[in-house]
Amino acid sequence: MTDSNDYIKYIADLAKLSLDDSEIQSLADDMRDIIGLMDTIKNIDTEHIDATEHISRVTNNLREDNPGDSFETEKILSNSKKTMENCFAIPKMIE
Amino acid sequence: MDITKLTIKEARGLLDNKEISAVELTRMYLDRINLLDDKVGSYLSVTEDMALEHAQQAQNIIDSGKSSLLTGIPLSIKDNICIEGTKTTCASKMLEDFVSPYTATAVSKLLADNAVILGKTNLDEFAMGGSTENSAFKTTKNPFDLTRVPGGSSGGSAACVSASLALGSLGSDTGGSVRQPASFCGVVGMKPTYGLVSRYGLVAFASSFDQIGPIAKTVEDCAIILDSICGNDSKDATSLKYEKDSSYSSSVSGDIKGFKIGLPKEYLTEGLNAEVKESLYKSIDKLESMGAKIEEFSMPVLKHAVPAYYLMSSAEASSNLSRYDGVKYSYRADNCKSFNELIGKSRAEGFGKEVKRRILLGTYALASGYYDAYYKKALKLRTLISNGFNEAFSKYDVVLHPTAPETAFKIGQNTNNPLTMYLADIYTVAVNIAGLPSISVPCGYDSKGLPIGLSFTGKPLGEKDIFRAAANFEAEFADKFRVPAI
Repeated sequence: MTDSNDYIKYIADLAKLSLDDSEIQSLADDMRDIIGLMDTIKNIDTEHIDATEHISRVTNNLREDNPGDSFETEKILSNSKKTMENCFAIPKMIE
Repeated sequence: MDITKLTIKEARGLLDNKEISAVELTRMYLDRINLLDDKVGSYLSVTEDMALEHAQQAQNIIDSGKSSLLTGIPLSIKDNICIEGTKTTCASKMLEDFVSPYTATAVSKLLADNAVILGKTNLDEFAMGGSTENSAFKTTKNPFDLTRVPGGSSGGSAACVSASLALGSLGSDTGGSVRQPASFCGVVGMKPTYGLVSRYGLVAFASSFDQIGPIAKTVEDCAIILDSICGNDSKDATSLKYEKDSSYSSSVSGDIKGFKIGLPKEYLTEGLNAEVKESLYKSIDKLESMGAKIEEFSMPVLKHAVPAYYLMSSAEASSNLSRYDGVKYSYRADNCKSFNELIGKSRAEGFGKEVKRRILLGTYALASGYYDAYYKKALKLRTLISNGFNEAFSKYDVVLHPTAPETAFKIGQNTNNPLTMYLADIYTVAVNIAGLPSISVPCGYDSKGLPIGLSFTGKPLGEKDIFRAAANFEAEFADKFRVPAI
């Protein structure tokens, strides 16, 4: 199933998951069965049916545009593993 | 005092009559957790200091004569619902160290009623699963048989109520995650209409499906909790503006003579365990003897609910979980030399296998070339399922069905077979697809002594109908709450 492994690798890359070969193999096996189940809906005739993205019974449920308190910077940064000068830190992106 | 049969309503009486103090009641639950939770494994963290502080505040309110129904009542919260200053792990390595900077609206409402929060309960990682085996930290056991699963994903919440390690709990239900574990653990679990309870502070899995719901020992106790947590919230744009004319807890009274109940034929086919089926038919006889009129009806599209649900919910999950990138608050892989490496490695190391499967399925369903065949097709099935229920509710007050096709299975039995796990959601997912309220109540026990659940599903905002039907059934069900021997 090399083709399907390659495709799972492609999907994993889209999803930003750096999986090793053994994990790709194991997930490709699972996904084959799972996608088989998903394929059972392919032939149902839904040509004239509208799609329902969201079942919510409200539209444009917006609050008043009043300013509120923000979270304290320190509190928000405290959950990050790496911060610098009151910012989140990431590896250098520009050489 | 024996707390194994205590309900929220009875505890309210004891507290108000000063037969026990809120601190004493909380202490009893904390002691029982210390004694038994090593066996059950329902809690991921116990917030003892906070609980005792809440209990003292609650006692002051009780002493002033101003208590509400939940004042001083010890509850637990599923660990994907935030409480400021406490860990919210979602049972994932990804959020192992995450401390919530704010409190979920549903919990704020419980605290405004001076309920006591005992701790956070175990779940399948990010609420993805039906056995709680997908937790990164521990396996919760079913209190009726410690070699079996409690169901999931709110397995910790259901097990802790069943084992009397809390009087009630908040779970979350995306595809059955409150009702199925309630069924496996012999307690009552309720999923409200989509939008009735604010999702603010509930960690998002599939936003158009997720809904917080109560788990307790009785239907009335679930209604009492729902009365506290429901209501419009400006912090959740999908929250409904809905004024109820009376409390849910008062809706449990009144009989069901002439109540029209529909039973979908598609749920009675292969895959339904014989003992569960027998229990369902006994329950139907019971309901008919109480004056309800029960009729089978057909809704063929229900057969496609499972694949439609997994396509839509996984697509939403793949988008929601893109926020876990190792930068702001999640697990961060070591020694990454580039930003892309940081994201890819953090996600690969931080997420468990089931979460990866769902992200892959969701990304696949949304990928160019597959979107129309999978995701859009599922959205159209959502329309058909919703229309099907609308039609059913033009004829029936409630729809009746099993909660799960079988009783609790052995730990490890299905861990390597995700497809079997997905197919077992057949009776619960359609409710979430259509955004309906549904409640699971115990209706029997199989030959191994394992609980069986029965579900009443209502029309949108039909909570009172399902509470009334379930409470009437519960009152007549001779074996209503068995205490598991742990």
